[in-house]
Amino acid sequence: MKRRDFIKLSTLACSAILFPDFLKAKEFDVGDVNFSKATFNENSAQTIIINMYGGASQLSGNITNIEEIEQNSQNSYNGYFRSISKTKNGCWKEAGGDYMEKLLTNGDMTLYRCCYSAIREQNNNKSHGLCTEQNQKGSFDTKGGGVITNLAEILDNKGAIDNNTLMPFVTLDGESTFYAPLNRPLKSYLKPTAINENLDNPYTRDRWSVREWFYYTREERKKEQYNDTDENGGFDPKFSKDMDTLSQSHNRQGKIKDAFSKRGELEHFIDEIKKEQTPDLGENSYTDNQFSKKIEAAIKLLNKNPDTKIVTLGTGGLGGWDDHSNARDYVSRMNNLFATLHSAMAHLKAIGKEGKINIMVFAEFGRNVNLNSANGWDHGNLQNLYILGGKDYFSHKGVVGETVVDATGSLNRLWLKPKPNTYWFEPISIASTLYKLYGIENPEVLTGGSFDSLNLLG
Amino acid sequence: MQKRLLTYFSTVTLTLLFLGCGSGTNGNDTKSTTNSGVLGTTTIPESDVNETINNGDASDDEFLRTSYKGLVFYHKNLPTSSYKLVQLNDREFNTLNDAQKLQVANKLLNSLFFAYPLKELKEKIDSGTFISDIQNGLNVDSTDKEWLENYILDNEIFKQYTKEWELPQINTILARFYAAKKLDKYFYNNWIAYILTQTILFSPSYELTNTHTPNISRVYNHLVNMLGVDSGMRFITYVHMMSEDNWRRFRSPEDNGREMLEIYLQDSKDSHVPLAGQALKNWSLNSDGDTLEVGLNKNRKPIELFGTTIYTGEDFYRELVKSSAFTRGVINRLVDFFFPNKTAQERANIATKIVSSKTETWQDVLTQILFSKEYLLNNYRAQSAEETFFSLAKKMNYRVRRDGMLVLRRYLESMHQASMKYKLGKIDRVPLDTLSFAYYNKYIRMSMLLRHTKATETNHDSWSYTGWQDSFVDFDKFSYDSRDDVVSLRALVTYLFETILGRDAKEDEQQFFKSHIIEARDGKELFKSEFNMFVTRDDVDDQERRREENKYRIVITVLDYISRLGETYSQREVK
Repeated sequence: MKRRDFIKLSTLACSAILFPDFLKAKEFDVGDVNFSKATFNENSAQTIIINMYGGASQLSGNITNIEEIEQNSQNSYNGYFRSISKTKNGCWKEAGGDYMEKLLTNGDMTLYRCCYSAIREQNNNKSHGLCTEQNQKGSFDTKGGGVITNLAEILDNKGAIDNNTLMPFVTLDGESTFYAPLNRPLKSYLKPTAINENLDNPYTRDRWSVREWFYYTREERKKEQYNDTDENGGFDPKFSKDMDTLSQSHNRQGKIKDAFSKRGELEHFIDEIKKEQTPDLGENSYTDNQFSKKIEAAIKLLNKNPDTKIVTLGTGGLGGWDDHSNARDYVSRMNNLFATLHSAMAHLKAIGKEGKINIMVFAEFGRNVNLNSANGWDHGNLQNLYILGGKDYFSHKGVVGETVVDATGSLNRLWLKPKPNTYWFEPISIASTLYKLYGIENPEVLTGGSFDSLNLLG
Repeated sequence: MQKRLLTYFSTVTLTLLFLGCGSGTNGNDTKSTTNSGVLGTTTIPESDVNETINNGDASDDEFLRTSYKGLVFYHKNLPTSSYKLVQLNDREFNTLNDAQKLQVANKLLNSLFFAYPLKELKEKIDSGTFISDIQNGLNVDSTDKEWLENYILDNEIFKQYTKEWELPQINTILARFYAAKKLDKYFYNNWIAYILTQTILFSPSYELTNTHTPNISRVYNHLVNMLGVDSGMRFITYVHMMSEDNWRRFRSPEDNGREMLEIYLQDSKDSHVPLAGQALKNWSLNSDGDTLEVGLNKNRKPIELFGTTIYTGEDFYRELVKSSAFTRGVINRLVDFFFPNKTAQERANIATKIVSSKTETWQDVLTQILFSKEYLLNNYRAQSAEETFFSLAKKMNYRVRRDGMLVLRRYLESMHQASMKYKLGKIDRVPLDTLSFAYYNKYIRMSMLLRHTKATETNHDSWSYTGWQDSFVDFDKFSYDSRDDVVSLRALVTYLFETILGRDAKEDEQQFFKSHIIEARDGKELFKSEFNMFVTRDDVDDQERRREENKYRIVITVLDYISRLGETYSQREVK
């Protein structure tokens, strides 16, 4: 970002305070959205969004300012962490830096170091809830729907997907604000499907509970082994299906009805994904932890089902990122995260999907860089954004953005900020990028302001 | 009164003295916003309390005025006539039709994790004083606590787990609701503590590495104890904020200060965080045993916050709960919890009315919500698994084997409704993503509705010990006519629907079961043989056995259908 753009955005931020309605995303009209089906089809993108809930520190991917930070910090980094080594690109070697370097060297990743919010700075906001909501709704006005809800409605309306599209949006992390509803109903098939990393299948009804012999008609009972397993010729009684039909006719519109309606389909869907095998990744094999299983399951799912456009997940299994104290854990957590991402890239290459599938990794915000009295970091306002894969449509840029230390002199007010004239962007630009990736040419009608998509996209 | 003072004294000393707080501010005293009838300016000296007790002249009024720098400890509940959120009274309840009364009664009781068998419930409804009877009952202590607390710790009945990963504290808390027989003050205080610990306000957050399983029972039991001596919600919160339990959740001065402001006042101004951090600068969670440590290097510079001047961490916590934003903040949290599907404006209106009641107790906030017309008549929401489980258990004469509470707790985790687990509480009380709901449905369907047990099974460890018992569907529970199979089937279906859902089956549902269970035979409409609950045999024992088996098949058929209805997992508006 050029200096004049910086000034422009600062002005924008000030305007937001002076004119609170300036950045409000109105309940959008699909008719206002310019959609390019050609872009959508050409990209054929699939995305894994990894949210680092709690607000991960940016230091793993950026210790270029560590000497100045060390001088100004309440507690000593060297004293507490004992060993902080810088990689070639200024990443924190022990905190995943080695893996980052490999990904950068291979052209597999762009590391954006200046995802910064001038608007939040002006609005005095570093709150988990509000920042998460803004990022996941892709707007500073939080009255609208989630990014994925908006995208779902547009893709459906523009005919890019339809009722025959199988599980277009999947979550391994429950329903986050990405899926926040609009003030109008959304078609059932557009709502997210939830699975977990173990591909557990509670959607299955135990056979004995559905194939009670007295559920069958006398006619049905004439067939041998009618209520045995499928393999032995068993089948579900019509009565059970009729129960579903009747109960659904009484169930009111909403999530419970949707969940019931998807149950049967999901029962088989998950069984199918389970059959999918991960290729032998050799030395790049996944480490054995819950988070790795999530990523592995997400890639298997996307590979098996091209209809799925976006999978969202948190970093469950690694731990949260709200490192107010004892930040030593952060180092190993980051290392585990990037070990997994490194394996994920190997997985994508092994199945030939590094061009189509991309992975975006970010949090609600980054962190203050003062190592506080509890050896942790308070909330900050600048974070890294890591984008991997998607090489057919992304032109990876390596490391982008430079930071400076803002030492305010106040206790616990030690920040990283974008260096003047460097490339930086508001977190809402992540939503703009997603929208553009999937064919929306004027994302500003959704984001409530002109937040440019990232420079690796076309 | 003496007992109350003693209990109260224990609380004060434990919370203020032992934590090293409230021990004077070395001249840096804060301005009290209210200071009515202060007994002591810091803590109450033990001698004062003893003197009061020994003189035997303590009065409720005196106790009521007990405060610390303007923070009043004790509050009597308001008369319900003071509630500004419009309440449903007996007179209006009695004007509802029978179906509506049953629905409202179910909604109220399910919300309280309680239920009565259908016949008993209908008798209570017909009394004409159902609402006031339930409400009055919540103010009366009638539980035999000695029995209840021993019962839920009886290893023969509830397996007493010892490993931390088995979370025995939560198992015990769940067992209490399951075992309690009376909906009284003790039950209600437990319910309030349970609700509060599900929310961001008091979640013990056992998911965090710094928290330990005893934090679960410490937070919960402390709430129950303080509610039991009529402590006000400001005082309860103040005590909690200064506890190690709270510091294990939010672990640095900035973190703790920021989150206390945001959780209780909904103040997310980042500029207030350094001020809070400054006041709390000598507070820390020592990694040696995750122990709260309060140093002597306290802040001595004046800090302007909450419209007053504070210095220390203790000042920060005390003035926070005294601030005018506190009541609004915590009421907003609870209104969001109980009215998740109302618009933001509607929730704000509800909260405004509760705030205007000038409530000072958790009981008044929650009672006001529960008995309001807005809640009982106009609210729709998904029902939590605890609400469904505990109410069904009482309705169906359902019993669990020794590990039943462990199983329930684990299923709650799978449903993403884990009790007391999440750092920020249950932001979404009942997640309805497909996976979470699939687990919810699976548990209620497979472990409750379709799980039948025989009274003859007495081994508490036996897999077949769990389930609803025959007595749930005894012939005296519904109005059958053994000369008319169709009428009898309809009566049984109605009984099951009314019991589980609080409504009768609709005509198409009745016809659906009839078409499967009844057949035309000999010019009559009769039970198919496998469903004939009036089958006759020469051998009386054989006849009874067959009748029970055939009835069981009907019941399972209907309950399976009910397990597929969204109403089983939700609470409806009254149409």
